[in-house]
Amino acid sequence: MTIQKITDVDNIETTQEQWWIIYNDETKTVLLGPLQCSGYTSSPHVMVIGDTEKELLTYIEENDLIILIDYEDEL
Amino acid sequence: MPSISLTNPLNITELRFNSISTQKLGGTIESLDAFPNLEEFYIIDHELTGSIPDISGNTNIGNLHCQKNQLTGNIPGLSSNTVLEKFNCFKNNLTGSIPDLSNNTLLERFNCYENQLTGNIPGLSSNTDLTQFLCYDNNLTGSIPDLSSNTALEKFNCSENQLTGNIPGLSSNTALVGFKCHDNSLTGNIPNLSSNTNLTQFHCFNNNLTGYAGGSVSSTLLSFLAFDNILSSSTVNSILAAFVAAGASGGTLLLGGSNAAPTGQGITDKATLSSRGWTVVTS
Repeated sequence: MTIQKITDVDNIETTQEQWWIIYNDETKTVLLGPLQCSGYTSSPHVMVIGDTEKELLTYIEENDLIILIDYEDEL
Repeated sequence: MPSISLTNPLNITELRFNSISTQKLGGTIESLDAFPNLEEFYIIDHELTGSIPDISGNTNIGNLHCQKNQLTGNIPGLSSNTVLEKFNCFKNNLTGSIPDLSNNTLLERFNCYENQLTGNIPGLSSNTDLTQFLCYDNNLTGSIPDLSSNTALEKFNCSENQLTGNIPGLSSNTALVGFKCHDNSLTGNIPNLSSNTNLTQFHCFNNNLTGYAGGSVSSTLLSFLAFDNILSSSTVNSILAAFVAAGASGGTLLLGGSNAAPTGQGITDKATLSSRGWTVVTS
């Protein structure tokens, strides 16, 4: 398991195989992910990179981060 | 599991089976024929099996909610249900195609996501009151239908299917808040979004899109995910420029993956957006 937490997210490179999230450290809300998208990421928020989606879901749970769900269960 | 036999000595027009976690209904619904005047039917989050019953005789039905069960089989024909406003059968195991909806002219919400539906999305040009069409995570094929008549449409999500063809023009959909078509095999351009002044989310990632029709984007559009397409550097540059011009802060713009990298002014525009608190990914 190789989880990287990056607080200064300035053109951070990710590969096609890596999974990552972006979360707001103040609200503890996950803004993006877990997802796979290669490229160079810049963000004012915190980035967490792992090898698998499960690693990141575990990270989210262990750090009490909140995933916002939209479109669900609407009548 | 037994079938649920429903009788109606009091001419009831509304049936609601509320779910309590320890007391879920099982079995099948054989028929709603005993309720010719039924207007609302709710049986949400139970363990029902079998198919959705024929409701061709329930011509007064306005709301049918059978989501979160284990229903199988086809969605029944809805052509007799001319006052139907809301049809929610998401999170079941439904198969077959989405029925013709051309007679459902009062339809506001059609939500059948997370099933195993196949076939094309039917024409929606008669459904001028439609505000929500959510059929993501099925096995739908064909193209996204013309949406120019759906001027009340707020949320459209047909992601995670096997759709092909172009994304239709969205210039008539001025009420649109969210449009998601990611994880399909769509081709052509990302449409012009300059009329969509209420749009907050546009997600078209993991398709085969090659261009952007141009035009401005609304300052409300704070989540634009178009990574893993076949966008050229000039297209990526155009999209970055549109978001810089919109002037918003704190959004998310994902253009990485299989798209080309930005060049020249595009690189500067990415830095500008970053300085405004955007999360930006490019190749």
